[in-house]
Amino acid sequence: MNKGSNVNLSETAPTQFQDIGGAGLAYRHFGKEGAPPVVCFQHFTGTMNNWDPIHTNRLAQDRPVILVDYRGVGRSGGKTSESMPAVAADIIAFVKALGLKEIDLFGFSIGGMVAQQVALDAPKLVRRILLAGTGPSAGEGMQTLSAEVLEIVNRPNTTQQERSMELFFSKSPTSQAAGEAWLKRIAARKLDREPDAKPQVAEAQLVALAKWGAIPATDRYGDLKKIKQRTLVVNGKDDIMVPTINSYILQQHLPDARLILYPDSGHGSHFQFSEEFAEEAARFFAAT
Amino acid sequence: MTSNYTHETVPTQFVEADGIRYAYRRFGKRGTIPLLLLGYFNSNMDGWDPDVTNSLAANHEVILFDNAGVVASGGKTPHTVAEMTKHCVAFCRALGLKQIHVVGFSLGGMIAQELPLEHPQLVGRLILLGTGPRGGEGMTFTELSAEEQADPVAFLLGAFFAPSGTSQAAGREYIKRLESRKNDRDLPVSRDSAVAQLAAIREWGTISATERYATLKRITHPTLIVHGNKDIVVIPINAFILAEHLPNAQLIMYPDSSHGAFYQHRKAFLEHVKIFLRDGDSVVPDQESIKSSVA
Repeated sequence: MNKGSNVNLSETAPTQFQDIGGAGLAYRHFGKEGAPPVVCFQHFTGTMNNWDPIHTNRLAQDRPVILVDYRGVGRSGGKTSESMPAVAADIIAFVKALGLKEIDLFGFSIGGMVAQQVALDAPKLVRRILLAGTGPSAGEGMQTLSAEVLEIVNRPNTTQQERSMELFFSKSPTSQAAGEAWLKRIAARKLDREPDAKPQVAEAQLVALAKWGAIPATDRYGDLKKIKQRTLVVNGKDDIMVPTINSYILQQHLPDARLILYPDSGHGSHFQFSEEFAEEAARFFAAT
Repeated sequence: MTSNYTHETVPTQFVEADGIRYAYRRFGKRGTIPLLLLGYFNSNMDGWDPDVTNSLAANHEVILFDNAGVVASGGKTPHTVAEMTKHCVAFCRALGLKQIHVVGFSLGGMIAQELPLEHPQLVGRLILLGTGPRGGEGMTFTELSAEEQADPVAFLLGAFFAPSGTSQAAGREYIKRLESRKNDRDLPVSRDSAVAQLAAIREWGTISATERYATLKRITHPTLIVHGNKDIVVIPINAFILAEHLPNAQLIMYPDSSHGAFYQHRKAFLEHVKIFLRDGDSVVPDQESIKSSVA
């Protein structure tokens, strides 16, 4: 395993592979050694390419950053799993294969669900959790994507970039301009990029999402009480992918969570307020 | 330049407007847009945490004041938030303030929401602490009484801090800090004033027959909302409602905390305020208001 270093920042860190039995997961590892690494979990159909360099480079100043693509995503081998526990099991195996004893988690959207599942299934491995644009299991309106979102996702002849402008940002000119800037930032890395997700990824992730969102007969948010790690929950005030009320629910039920909702923004509020969020995240992971 | 005064040493001054004499204290960095601090139900100028006001004063001018009928100020406490807001504007005018950032805690946060509706030019930014919208959830305060603070320590520990050991310890520290100003302290709020304030917040909390949160759309000022996740006075969903309905508001909710969350988490809070005000703190050119401030 190559150790990350200060010069290998998000634009230049090579994609590496870690075998977890049956599949090799693609990952990038960079940043300052000597602190618990922050392992980052990506959104629905997203690959490592989509991490905001402003965030990952800022975090990498203080600690190792590990980006990883789920089984079947990007250049990771195998087929994408159809449940969050299966995805989390892969991640736990991956982290252990890297020889890591303690990690922080940063999950965006579906990645935030994976992060919660990892914390539930391997609590001793996890120190802190940063959740962006996500929600709890059995959250509000989380079993399926809304009609508005499905229309955008399934609109013919659109690129992933065009779709994310509508899915991640609000309609305001400020938010749209922030979206354009984010798209430029994630395109800055020219070499060694991950291929777009295959159709199987979306199909499997939608199945996993439906299971995650299903509302049980009793104790709807019972699992959240078990996630005792210090957590930061962040979202935009108008998230159309994972309704913003879910961020509030997370904060209310997690034993040690703080919440930030940004104005004039949606699912990708952390991209829109990229510098402010990067500093917030750095403070959160660094705080004693 | 910062005045040499602190929360502990700044003298109480008086200014008159429309026949009412208002008590206030003004200190901090001169030449900045002042932060006008509006306190909670039944509180006086000594209710602010000196640690917070002194830290704010490092970067801003800070103005504490007693509204009409409260302690050292003249006049009678009105029975509505709208009337309290009018007194607040009269006080600002009397000081010659052209623009202020408003920091409103609880009842003070209600006045802070009313101010920009009536006087959009006067207000730069809003910081809303432990407060809720007009007609919010569970905001008629049926449990509260004018005698609430007969035992102030029990009241503050019970209402401002969560039951956890950490929060209660933070509460005891806060109560200790409140004593750091030794001289020229405010007297307790009179029963008449408390009764009127209670009527005002209950009227504010009444759910209107027309569109419930309609007025919030008209407050376009940049706003920072700060709340405790276990606030038992103004329940936390109200902060979420504010964030969802105000056009330009950021919400921050702290863990393991109640009505006084910003005192308990004051280090994070002061950092968040600094970030929020950093691009909204241009120097005020109005020399008259600067001259009239305490040296």
